[in-house]
Amino acid sequence: MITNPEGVSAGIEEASESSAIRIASDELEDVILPSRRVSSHERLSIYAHAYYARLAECMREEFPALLHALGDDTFSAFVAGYLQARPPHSYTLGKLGEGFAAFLAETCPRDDDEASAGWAEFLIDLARLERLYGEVFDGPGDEGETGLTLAQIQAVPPSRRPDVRLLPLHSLRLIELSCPAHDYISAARKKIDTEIPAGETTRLMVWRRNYVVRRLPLSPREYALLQRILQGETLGAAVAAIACDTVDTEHLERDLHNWFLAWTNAGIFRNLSVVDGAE
Amino acid sequence: MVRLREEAGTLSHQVSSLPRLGYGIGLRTVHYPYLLQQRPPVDWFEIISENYLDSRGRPRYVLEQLAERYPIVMHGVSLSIGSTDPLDFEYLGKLRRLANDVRAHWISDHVCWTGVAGRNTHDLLPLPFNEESLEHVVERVRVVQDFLQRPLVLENPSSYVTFADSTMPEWEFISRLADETDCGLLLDVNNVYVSSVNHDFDPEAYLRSIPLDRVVQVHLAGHTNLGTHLIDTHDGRVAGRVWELYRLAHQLGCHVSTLLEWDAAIPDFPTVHAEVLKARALLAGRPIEEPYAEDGTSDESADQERGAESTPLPHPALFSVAEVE
Repeated sequence: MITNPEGVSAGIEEASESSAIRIASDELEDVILPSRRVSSHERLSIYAHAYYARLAECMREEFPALLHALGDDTFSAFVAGYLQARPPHSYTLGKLGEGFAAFLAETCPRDDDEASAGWAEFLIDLARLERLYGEVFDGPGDEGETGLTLAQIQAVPPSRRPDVRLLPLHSLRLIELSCPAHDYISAARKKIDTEIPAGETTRLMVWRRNYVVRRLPLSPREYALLQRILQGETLGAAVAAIACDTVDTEHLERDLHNWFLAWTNAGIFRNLSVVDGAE
Repeated sequence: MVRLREEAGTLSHQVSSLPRLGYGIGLRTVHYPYLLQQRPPVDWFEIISENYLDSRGRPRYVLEQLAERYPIVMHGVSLSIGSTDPLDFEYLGKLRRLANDVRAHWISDHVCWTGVAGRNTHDLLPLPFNEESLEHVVERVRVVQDFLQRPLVLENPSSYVTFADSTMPEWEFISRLADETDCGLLLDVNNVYVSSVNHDFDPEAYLRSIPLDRVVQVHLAGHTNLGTHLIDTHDGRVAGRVWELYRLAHQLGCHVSTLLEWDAAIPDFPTVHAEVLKARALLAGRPIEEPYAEDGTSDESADQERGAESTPLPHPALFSVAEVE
């Protein structure tokens, strides 16, 4: 009765149609008594209002950049639709927004023109990335450990480096977006007005250090290599896979050095192992 | 049945032996940096249990740091002790583990239900107060206490509806619940006052009717006056009438741990701390300076103006916001 977005009367009708609660809206006083100054309907409406308002407030806190992009009315309308389609089931509000990006992907209006499609993809990207930030922020981490250094990797004899398997931080995630949504999120969180970014495939690694979420843009090949390392491939196999269409091996070696330098500076690897008889 | 009686006797002893922690504050994320840097002399902290059960990031880290220096009490909002849904033993197991990890002095929640058919409204929904609902809640409290191996402490929530099916007042329901289960009680004085206005009962009669020897903790908070009814908004100072009830509870023998909840429009930590320390001053015989009276003063008009701009939110939820570089 209190979760119908049309209000308590609509909620009563819906409840009486679908469940054992069979009362008409004008019979509410048979169940809920009025007080001296507030009618039964008004009393129940306090809970109906609170249901959406409370959960929408949590969604505003989890998706501040999406709120900034949409404005409060449109954001609230999307949240109301989301809560109707996927009402919360968990004891924790931490899971409240976990299906929001998928809901937007299913329902976000897209006209045929390119601009409209780009706008929709931008909104979905914001929801995906803000949700990911939240998951990395409060998920497993490795704050007690110092990250692997480049020197530690280079200490492995060159002949054995192809057999190295790197162990990433528990918090490390990769995400591919249709635009640089991370820049928009950073500006929105600092309450800086910024343009909607143009469409441009963007790849990020997102991780946590000292309990703060960090992110770094990656080139396509850098992203592909790191993706394979995260899947547990040895360095030899991962590098071979991304190098298969490369003729400029000198350039690739320079890239590899720079990538590993940036990754180890970010401290995204916990440890390494040298695999015997690597596949 | 014999076993239950023996356990109840043990629990009763446990409730009476819970410590008096002094004057505490509800732990909120906006105060994390201040607390870690300043280490203020606060008697104890109460956490919202659900915000830490699954945390493996900064909220959990901050809690562990604070638990090294301050007594911690766990206050939940999702136990849903009055629901007809089965109890969630995975959730209860996490409560038990967290309580052990942070050496929580007790675990509390509310006399309410939060959802049904698997849904969680994240609200504290009221129960009808009758024999059937009492029997239902008594049985569930016993199961929870048996599982947690400690007494559960239950709070009277603010409420906005009265069920026609209720056959007894809230204070009788809560008194009998405590008597039959040996659970502890968390007396929210602000909630007593809010509900007394919303349900047209005498708040002093409420305080004189509940078993104060079962009360292990008192809650204080601010509320919003909408003219026809009050909303438990936790967004401001404690009202003068609530301070009077707090003093009465003390005069009646309720000398227990006191905690202030401030969940919306949260000011800096010293302001929040100063508000709860008024309780100590009040009980020492000093009057509250510039008491905030939501009845008949300029503060009331301020409330009504705020209410006109946007409908205030009962019992605001607390969400841990990610910190991103």
